[in-house]
Amino acid sequence: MRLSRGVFHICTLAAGLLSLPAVGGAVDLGITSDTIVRHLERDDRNGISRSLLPAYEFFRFDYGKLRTPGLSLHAYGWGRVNLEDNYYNHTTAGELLYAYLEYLDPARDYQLRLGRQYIFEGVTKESIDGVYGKTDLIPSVTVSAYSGFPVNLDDTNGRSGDLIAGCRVAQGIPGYYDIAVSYKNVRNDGKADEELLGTDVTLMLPGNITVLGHSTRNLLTGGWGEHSYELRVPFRSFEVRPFYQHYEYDSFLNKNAGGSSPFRFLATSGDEMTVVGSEAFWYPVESIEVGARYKHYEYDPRFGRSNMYTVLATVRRQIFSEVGAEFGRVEGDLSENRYYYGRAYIYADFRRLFVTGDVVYARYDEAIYRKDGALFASVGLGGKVLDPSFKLKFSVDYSDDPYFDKDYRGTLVASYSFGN
Amino acid sequence: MNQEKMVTVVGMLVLASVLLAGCALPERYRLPVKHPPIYELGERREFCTKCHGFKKQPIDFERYNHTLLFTDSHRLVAYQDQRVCALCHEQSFCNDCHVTHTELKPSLKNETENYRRMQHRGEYLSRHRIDGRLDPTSCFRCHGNPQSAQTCAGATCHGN
Repeated sequence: MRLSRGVFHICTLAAGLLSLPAVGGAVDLGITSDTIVRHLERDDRNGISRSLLPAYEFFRFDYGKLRTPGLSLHAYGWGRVNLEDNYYNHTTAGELLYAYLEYLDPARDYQLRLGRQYIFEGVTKESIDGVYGKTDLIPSVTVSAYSGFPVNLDDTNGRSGDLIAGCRVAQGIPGYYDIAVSYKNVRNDGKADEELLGTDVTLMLPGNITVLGHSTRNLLTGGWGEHSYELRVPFRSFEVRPFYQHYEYDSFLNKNAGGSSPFRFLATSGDEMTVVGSEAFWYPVESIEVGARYKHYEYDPRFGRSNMYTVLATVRRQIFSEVGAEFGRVEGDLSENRYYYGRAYIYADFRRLFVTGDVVYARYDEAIYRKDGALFASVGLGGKVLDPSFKLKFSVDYSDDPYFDKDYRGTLVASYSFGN
Repeated sequence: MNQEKMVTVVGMLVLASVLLAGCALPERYRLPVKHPPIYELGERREFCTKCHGFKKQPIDFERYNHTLLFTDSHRLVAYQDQRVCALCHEQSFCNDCHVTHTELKPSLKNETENYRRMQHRGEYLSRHRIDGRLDPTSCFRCHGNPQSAQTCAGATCHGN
């Protein structure tokens, strides 16, 4: 269903594509293809072993003025076909993730987009079929707005009565501050599904200290959904980033059609969550990074207090090779909510070839399905083949965990990139 | 005056003030369309300040440094100006995680790019039971709508 709608989108945009050369100037073409074939074994509910061989294609297409202002076309999507037994619920699956025409004014004063696209801005993180515009024409002010159909609500009684619209107005002086107000309104089948008003801010204080964050108000429930603020304090080769987050589930989660079932019951629970903590970084030399994070959760009234501790470090060699390690502890009030976590990895680059290795281990204070730990290991090999734009990657991973017993999986990826 | 009207009035006043203030101030910097191609920028986790230094104008480059924990905390800067992200990343890069519907978690789609510290690497099914209990808001950000939650319903666990 979604694929046929995707074909419609591509045909519509193809009309725009044909007009591109006429707009003037040289045009660029960019194509990226990732073909991923996985192999894994699964036992079904009757104990019969199934051999699964899903093949995925992720295809991206860009045409037009890609590196300079002008008109351009962008499309990206994926599809899957099962080469052996059924994987997931259907033999095939796929999704057109975006397909839009973009115009950027030669003076870069404004940009327009038409088609399926993602909007990441202010209170909006949505996929829409519609139009989006952004302008810097008013000095020190950026205004953007969009309107169309919300893609996430495609399957909820069709598109009749569906609408998404929103805007963001930001004002700022580089080096001093940025402050913005944003708004989003989603309607499903003519009924209000979501209506958010938010602010986001960045303040640059003396001593290179930065404050940034945002707050979101749910206009349907009349409550604050989220406050997230962070302070960034650099000092020589160190940086500390204390943060504060507060959520009110009734206003943060969506109980309407635009929300999802795992969270719908929480959206009427009246629960609140406060998270405080800090990230910290240390850069002793350019090739070494050390980081740490502490998060304290106050989840009233369901799970009480919990803490998460993380330390991690990476060492880089030349540009592309690196090794890294991470260790963490999650400590909830109840023993079922506690575990240790560790990870080590290597990515070694040898000009045309690279080798990767990963080990992840988790140990649970309380066993899950009679297993008190989970081990995952992966090794990979890849490189450029014949042409620098063509890469082959092969990896095998192993997992022994509460859900899978000594599970081996293989993945082969053929990547092709043209003009990017 | 009911709350809805009050919000509208306050919003209009804020908007008018911003626009008036804006007219008296200098123009915004116009970003280039793309960052010049250097190495495989866009695939590697990079520090903007390595080349651009710690200047705060015309962009505060330090704000966009890809630290060890950038995957977890980039939303605060990404929502402020997507155009900065688009200098190096196509929208498809963001779609590894931010997507209406996908079947491959980002660490599986890019299994050999282990330096990216992508979400849910390794065996995450059992850990997600605990992380989800302690902080469901972090799950909701990516799995909070009917289509992106299809992964949650995959094995009839959190049926849609």
